[in-house]
Amino acid sequence: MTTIGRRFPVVTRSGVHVLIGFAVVAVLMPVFFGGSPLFTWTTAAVWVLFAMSTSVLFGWTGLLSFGQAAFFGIGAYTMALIHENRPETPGLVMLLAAALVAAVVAAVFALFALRTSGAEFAILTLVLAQVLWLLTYRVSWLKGEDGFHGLFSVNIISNPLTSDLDLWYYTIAVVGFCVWLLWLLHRSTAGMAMRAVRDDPWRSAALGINVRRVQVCAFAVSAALSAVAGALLAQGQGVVSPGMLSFAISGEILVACLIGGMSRFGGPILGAIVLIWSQTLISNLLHDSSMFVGLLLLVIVIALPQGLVSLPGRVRNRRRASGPPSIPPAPTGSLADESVPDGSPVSAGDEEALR
Amino acid sequence: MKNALVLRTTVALALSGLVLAGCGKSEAGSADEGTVKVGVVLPFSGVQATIAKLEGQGAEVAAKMINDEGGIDGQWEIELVEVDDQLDPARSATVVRDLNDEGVQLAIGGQTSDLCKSSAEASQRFNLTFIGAHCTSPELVDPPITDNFFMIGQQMTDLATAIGTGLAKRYPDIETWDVVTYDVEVMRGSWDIAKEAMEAELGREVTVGEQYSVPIGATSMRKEISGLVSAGDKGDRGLFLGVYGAGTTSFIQQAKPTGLLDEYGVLAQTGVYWPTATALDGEAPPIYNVHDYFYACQDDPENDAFVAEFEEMTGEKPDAGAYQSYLAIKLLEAAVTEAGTTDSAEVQEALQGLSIETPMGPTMDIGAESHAGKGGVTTALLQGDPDAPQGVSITECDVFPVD
Repeated sequence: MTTIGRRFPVVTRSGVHVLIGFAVVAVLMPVFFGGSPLFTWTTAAVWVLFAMSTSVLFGWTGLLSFGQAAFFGIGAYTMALIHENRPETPGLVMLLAAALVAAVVAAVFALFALRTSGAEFAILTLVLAQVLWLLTYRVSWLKGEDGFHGLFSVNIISNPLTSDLDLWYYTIAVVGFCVWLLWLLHRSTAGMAMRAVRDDPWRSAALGINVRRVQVCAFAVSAALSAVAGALLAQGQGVVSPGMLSFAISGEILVACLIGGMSRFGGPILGAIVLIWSQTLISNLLHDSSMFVGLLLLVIVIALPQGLVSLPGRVRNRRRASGPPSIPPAPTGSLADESVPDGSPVSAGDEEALR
Repeated sequence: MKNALVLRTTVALALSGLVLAGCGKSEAGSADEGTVKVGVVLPFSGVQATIAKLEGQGAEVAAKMINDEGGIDGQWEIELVEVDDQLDPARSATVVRDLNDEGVQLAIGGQTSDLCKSSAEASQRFNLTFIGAHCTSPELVDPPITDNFFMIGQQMTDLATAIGTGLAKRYPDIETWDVVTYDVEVMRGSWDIAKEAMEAELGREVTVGEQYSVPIGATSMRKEISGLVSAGDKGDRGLFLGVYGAGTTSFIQQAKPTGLLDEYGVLAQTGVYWPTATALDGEAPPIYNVHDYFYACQDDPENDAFVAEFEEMTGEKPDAGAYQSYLAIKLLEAAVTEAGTTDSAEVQEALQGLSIETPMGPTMDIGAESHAGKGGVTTALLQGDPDAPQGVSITECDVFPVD
């Protein structure tokens, strides 16, 4: 347990610190950033939610999805279709509808797809995303390459967002709320069941956990929040097009999770921010930026296989290793002897976070 | 210890770089007296970078020609600000904000419909005037998707009508048409419109032989090519291609060994062919193509000046994309002159109903209500020729004014 967790267990349990953290960020960002940088932070916030929702599947439950863009796109298209047919519908209702549609699609899909596992399951998710992508071209009311526009005018409660500052507050509020829900889920029995299923599905089943049900639920939760992220992005950029269902999106969000690391709750948050900002900053400096962004991300993933969240722990460990030994060697079999896959020893604090 | 220090320093530098790069609340920079900044929003990196480069050069040539004559109305020199949307609507929404941060209030660009939409929606936030130079979807105009958006790319309906009419005039003996299109409504529809125009011109029904739709982005068309090969005698048959980009290249490369391309009475294509044809180094098969503009088809002093300037700057001939960018800048010049100011709102008002002379002959008229530019459409036969500029000859030109 962290220091804050030990001192204020109620705060940690209720996730108040998550809400406070997002509130502080919401207030501070417009003080330091405006114009395009603030919009980039808004985009990064959306990707934070997308990465967190992907982490529910990939990090918490151990299910690899190559088709997470399917749910991102379902969210965006659901919002666009509701806006086209019932433009007076409040934006928050649209977000709920997007989450519901994606959750139902995901649950039905998972019921069948989870008869497979590992690479086969990952390929099936890829197929789902590709089929939906193709449908946008084949089904006339999805408007093919033209897509939808005018989503800036979505009413949030009774009025549309009229500035990028309003968009920032709205986006960060929704993202903060969703991440808070994920925190509660992470700390709940259901969250622990997901991690147990990830670590050893056979043992979990032997302990009485309904593995299939846990996996289907994780898939539905992940899809619902990915859909909310997709709908938020659609509102932010004002348009929805088939590109939102592309494999590139599915790949990028996995990269974001890997960069941040999934051993800690906040890893994907860090990964999403680094991904969006490195893309933005490098493309402002170089014409062929994609290659350099790819290289940078590759370096991060190779240098830090546990993601950026493992950086402080590694620094601490190196400092200890290079300094005079102040702690007597741990007895064999203690936590300090356990190693994470990259070979670095795990401290007691890190071990807690890894769970 | 040393490693830890390096690590900490790296992280600190990265974070401070991040903060510094984005820090400081951006404020709209004011345009200098005597200069007007014009944004150029194109995918300068990625799969369409080559096309975007030519399009950007078209804008540069127009700006240079205007500046060489003393600037817009002798008052404002054009300063182009190029930004890369990476063919991504989310990115285009960001770069339009970058333009606004730099004080840009007039912009052109938009490679595809979704990029035009995204740029138009984002620019509406700041009432930035945006001319969609390369998008062609009728969905974007009449009424325009946003008040600040104007489109000058000729629409697929006009392109398909022109190629249908041109084919009927030039190749009246073709009885049957085989068709290969992308499996998207706009490309399938392009054949339907072209067929209708052919039938109207010929006064008889046109027979459709083999007809295939391939997934958009498909690069293997062997199955369709086998079907075409077995379709019998092709002397009086034509092949209509509704594909573009990598699809055209793939089709040509896979069909060439079968001899199919030489057997047909005529090959026609509604998608862009020029970049593929020039890439084939004098070996491009003859294809009857349609686009807004082919440099060799216009006998006009302004066109001669544009082509000469473009060649001097780039060493190449301008393609239709370069022409569209050139025209977009010329339109902004005319609108600023008409408005007597570079103020975005007044430029938008001036653009509504504006007419300008174009290098290709017909005038470009911007609809006051529709915000759609009606200019002309050109059809021509493009064929590999090692002796022609860039290895492609352009013949059998027809210019169709668009009503």
